[in-house]
Amino acid sequence: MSKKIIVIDDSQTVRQQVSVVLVNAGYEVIEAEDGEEGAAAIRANPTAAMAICDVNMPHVGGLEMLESLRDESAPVGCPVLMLTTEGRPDVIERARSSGARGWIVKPFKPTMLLAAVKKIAGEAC
Amino acid sequence: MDSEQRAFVENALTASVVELFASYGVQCTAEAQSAPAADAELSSIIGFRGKDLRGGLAFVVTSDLAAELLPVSRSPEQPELQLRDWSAEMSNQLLGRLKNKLAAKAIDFKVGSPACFTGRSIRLVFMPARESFTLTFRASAGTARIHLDCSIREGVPFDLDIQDLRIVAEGDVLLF
Repeated sequence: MSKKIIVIDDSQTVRQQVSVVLVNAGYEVIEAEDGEEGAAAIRANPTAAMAICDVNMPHVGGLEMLESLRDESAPVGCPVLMLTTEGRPDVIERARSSGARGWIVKPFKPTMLLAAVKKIAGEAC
Repeated sequence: MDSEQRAFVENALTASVVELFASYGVQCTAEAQSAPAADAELSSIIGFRGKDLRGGLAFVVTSDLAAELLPVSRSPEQPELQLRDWSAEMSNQLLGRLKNKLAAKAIDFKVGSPACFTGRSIRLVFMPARESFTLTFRASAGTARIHLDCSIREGVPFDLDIQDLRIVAEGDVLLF
């Protein structure tokens, strides 16, 4: 059975771009459009191997999503890799201290993304 | 913007466009002359605001060039929607690059969510001219025009050149 990865980004094209890389590597992908949908998808899929999440999104951003998941009474253990245009160390530190497992600055290289996914989630099957 | 600030921002934005397009396999060159507005264009507008500056960026691109920059195959069901989405994301990635370059001047700002609209011969005229400029880029598939309207707080020191920023570069990966 393939491992599930939740992809959270407000751009449909970015979700598709990430999904193509993951599906070709054998992962199953669940998509969400913002931090609120992403948190719901993470809670609804407790066996998901990881999530890949944008930072700057309308409604609920990626950092707010991370912090809300961290502050829950029974925090979910889904590792989150941030995929964003942000490169500032203070923002990265905020994500790291909120439980993020990694950080990629867009645009991403497919091979680098896949290598990071395999480190965090392991092989697809 | 004073002349020093303007020169830095213009150079940073020009470099950002060239680098961004190259990362999607498209070579482009900056043009001294503004290109005439093309027939079918997409325009994405994105706002930004920080302690020391505020403004908006418009990314106006011909449909053919937007399609050339797409990192995925064209959607046969929703081709226009896909290009609008990608144009908006490009404006977001462009402003992200500019933000990372302005960090060398100790300037930080928050970026809003982009919105995109399509039209014919889109023209944007900014006033006053001191706070804005337009850059034009040509690639084999078409042209892109970037309008930046940017107010920088008076007295912000722009002679800083912070070298040890530890800004993570585009495409780089950090694992914790």
